[in-house]
Amino acid sequence: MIPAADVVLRLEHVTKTYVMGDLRVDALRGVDVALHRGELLVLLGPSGSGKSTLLNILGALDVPTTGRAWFGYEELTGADRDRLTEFRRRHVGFVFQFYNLIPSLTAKENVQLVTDIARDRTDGLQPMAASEALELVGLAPREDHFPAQLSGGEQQRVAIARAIAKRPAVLLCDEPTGALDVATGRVVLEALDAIHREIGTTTAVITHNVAIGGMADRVVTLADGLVHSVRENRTKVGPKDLAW
Amino acid sequence: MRPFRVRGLRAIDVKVLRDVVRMRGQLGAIAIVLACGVGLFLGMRTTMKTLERAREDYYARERFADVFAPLVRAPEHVATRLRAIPGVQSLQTRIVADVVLDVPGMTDAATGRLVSLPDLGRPEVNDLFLRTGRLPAAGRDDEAVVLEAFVAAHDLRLGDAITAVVDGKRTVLRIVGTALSPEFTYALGPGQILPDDRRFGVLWLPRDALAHAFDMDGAFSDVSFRVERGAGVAEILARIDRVLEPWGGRGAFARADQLSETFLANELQQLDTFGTLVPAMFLAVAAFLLQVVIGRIVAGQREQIAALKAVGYRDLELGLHYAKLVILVVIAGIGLGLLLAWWLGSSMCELYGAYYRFPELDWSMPAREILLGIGVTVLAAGLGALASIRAAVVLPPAEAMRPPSPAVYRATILERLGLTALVPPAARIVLREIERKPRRALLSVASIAMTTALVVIGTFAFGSIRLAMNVQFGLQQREDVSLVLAEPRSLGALGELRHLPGVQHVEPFRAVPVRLRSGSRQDDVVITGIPAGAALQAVLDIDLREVTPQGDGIVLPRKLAQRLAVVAGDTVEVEVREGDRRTATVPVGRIAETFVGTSAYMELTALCRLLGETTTMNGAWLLVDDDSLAALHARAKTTPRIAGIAERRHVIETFRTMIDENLGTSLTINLGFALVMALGVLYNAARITLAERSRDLASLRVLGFRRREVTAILLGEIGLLTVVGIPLGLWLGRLAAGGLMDSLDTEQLRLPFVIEPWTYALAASTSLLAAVIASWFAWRMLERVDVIEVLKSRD
Repeated sequence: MIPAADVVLRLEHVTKTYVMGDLRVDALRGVDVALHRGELLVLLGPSGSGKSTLLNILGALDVPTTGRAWFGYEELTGADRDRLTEFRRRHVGFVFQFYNLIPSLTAKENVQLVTDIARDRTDGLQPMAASEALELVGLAPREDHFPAQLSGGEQQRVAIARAIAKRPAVLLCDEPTGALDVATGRVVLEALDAIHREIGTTTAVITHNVAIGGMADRVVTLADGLVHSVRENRTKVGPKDLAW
Repeated sequence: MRPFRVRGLRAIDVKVLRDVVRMRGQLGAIAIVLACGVGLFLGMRTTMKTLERAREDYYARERFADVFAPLVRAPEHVATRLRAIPGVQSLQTRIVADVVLDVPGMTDAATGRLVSLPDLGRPEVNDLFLRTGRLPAAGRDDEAVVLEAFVAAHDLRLGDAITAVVDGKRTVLRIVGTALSPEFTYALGPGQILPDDRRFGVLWLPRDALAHAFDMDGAFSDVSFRVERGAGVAEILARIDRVLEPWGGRGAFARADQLSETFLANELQQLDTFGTLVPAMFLAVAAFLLQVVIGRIVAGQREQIAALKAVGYRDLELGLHYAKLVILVVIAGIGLGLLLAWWLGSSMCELYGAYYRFPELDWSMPAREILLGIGVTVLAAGLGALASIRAAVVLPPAEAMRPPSPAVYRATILERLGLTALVPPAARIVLREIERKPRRALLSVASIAMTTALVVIGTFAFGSIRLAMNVQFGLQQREDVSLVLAEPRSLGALGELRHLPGVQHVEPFRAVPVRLRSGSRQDDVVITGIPAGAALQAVLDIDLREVTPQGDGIVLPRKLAQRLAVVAGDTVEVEVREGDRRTATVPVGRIAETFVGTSAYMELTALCRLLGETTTMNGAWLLVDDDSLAALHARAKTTPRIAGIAERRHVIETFRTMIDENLGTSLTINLGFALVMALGVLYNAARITLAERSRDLASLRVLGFRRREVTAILLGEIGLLTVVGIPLGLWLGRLAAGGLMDSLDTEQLRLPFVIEPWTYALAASTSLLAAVIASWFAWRMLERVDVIEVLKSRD
């Protein structure tokens, strides 16, 4: 099947099996999922459902055991480590559950870490200035602070700024509120929502928090390594109004 | 940490700089160990190169001889036959004689070597380097050029006079110039083992002057040769010996056996050995530290590496990132190392210059050597850091997003042996930690061992020298003064000697140059004849038992016996190299252990029988009243038959001075370097343990462990590494010292292989001191750990 023009990322019959000694763990058991241009997709599932594995494969951090992966018209299946790195470098923005900021770099420098290597992209898009990206998440005044001087929510917003500064084709967020309390989590989701609305980045958020599904265009529910359901939201709820 | 700003740098490079600042203690320690390695390497190597270059230039410019041949007396026309020997390029006949010198302001007699200069022009071979003044004018028999060191030691000036006692006649010589000569780069007088510039001098006089004084008109007593490149020296030596045999040839020898050159070559050999071994130890330790510390940094930054890879940093960029960290350490190490090399090299050259006299000794560090030093350092650092950098490169990004799986610990050997009860919990933590990372622990132990060994090999020689001196001048030589007579005399001369001022007891000796042969092996030495029942001279074996020769047997020093491949009970062929050149076969009595000189020994009357003489002497050992020593020296200066006089006390003093002058400096430098190495290792071990285990240690504190108990766990590891490393290091040091003995063991001075207890004590204390300092650092760091903060942070 040739992917449609508005599909940014697509996985076809993807399985992933981890072998640890005698133990075989089937994390994904045949998943089909597509990420459409401009949409905000929430991948919902309890822990152990395979959602992190799915995100790792979508973001080319990992490769499927079987099945195929596409980025637009470009097939990623079988690509070597270097090509996957180039793919991530040019097209993917990551937000991690534990922020993964470099503690020895300031907020601004953490963002520059990504814009430094985004200049050689082929699609002509120029990355944002680091301060511009921090402005978008409301952290411009704190750009010279080190991660240790920022709250968890602020650190996650720096991580978001870092992810979107290079204007990625797709933004992948792994439990972005997982390490945060409700109020702070909401601020982080607001930042994500604002960015999605303002610059229209295709975004996938994985979470175990059902309520977050309310802000998505589509919600894909995973269970036990399989897609359990796909639901389109007729009416999206703003992060402010999400019931936790 | 206060942020510092660096404009124009990529963010990831800012991270490099911040990481360096954060880890400055540990990385600084590595840089210092690296600096020691490259500094010692370049310092010693450039010293060696400078000396080699100075030697080469000096020898070439002054046409230093390739072959030397002393003899009794040959008419000048013999030179034509010598010149005709194939391979001989040029030669210089000379008159050489040792005399007693009377120097103003010195009560003792000094030994002077008089060397003739050609009447016309400069010597064809063995020219001298005129430092000040001029050569003696032709036809003047009262002018001399004098060895610069002798003039300096006596604070003499041009125009001052020295009196030479030639055949009882006092000849006043005016100093018209000072000079150096490649023959006396290391200027040893007869019987000396260390240069004593006050008591040995060389004087160059016109040939005519010496010919008159020594009855050598139209004759020579010494000839030296330059040979053609590639000529067979052994064949030339044999031919020279054949030509000179009727003229009292004492055996030609090659440059390698020339006294000054032997010492210089040996010194260079030692420099080469130490200059390779010691820097290699430092570079190996630095490489190990880099591996551990960079490995620890990479392990601690797993999640950062994962994030960097996730956002698209390439493997190569990550590798380069950590390589830059290493490069900064290497640059700092090389920078410091070059300063160290500059200081070390220039001071070592100055030190060598005080013993080995060259016209000029300009220490330099050529770019080629610097590049070599940098190359060696980069290689060591690269080898050390490679594995750790590679770990960062191959870390899969998805894998790294997960925390590392919990470390696997096992019961230690002690526990598996059922000895759990003997091991308290704190010790069990230490032991398991060490057993879990055995390679790291092993390398730490090896590093401590190397530190300890470094002190042993750097200082043991002083103990050896001291023992050698004590045995030689305490047990073997017991005289106060030894006299050398101008020519052999009957024992009747003893009566005269007894009447010299202050003499209480006299014993005669006879020294004869010989060639010893056993099968195809041969060696030129001196046999000293000692009277039976001598009280002033004892020959000892390795267990300090007296093996003074008896009957017809010859007692050989161990090294000579080894060279001739003979043992007690074998026979050697003796070819006398004076008089009527008899040969005889003599049984080898015992094997002696002598430290100074190369003499073999026989009983005096047996030796004289072998020579076909009635019993004669050409020297004597004296016991003298302390109060009369000055008077004795004064008499010796005017007694024609006395060619030389030496006080045992002076030899001991020269050695003491040499040891006093060098022991302090040598110890300071040695211990300093060893301490730096040990501290580098232990400080890093403590930092890493703390970094890896601060969470566990904090947990223990929360569980109610006392601060002291927690500290014990941290310090236990340092302690254990040290306690295992020290004995291993003492053993390693002993092993290495044994190997180095060969390079310290010279023809003139053989050293006993002993390592005195204080050497071991010093080595162990140095490593212990380092352990104490490192423990103090660790304790301070532990005090600063905020228990709550550590537990809150995600590991």
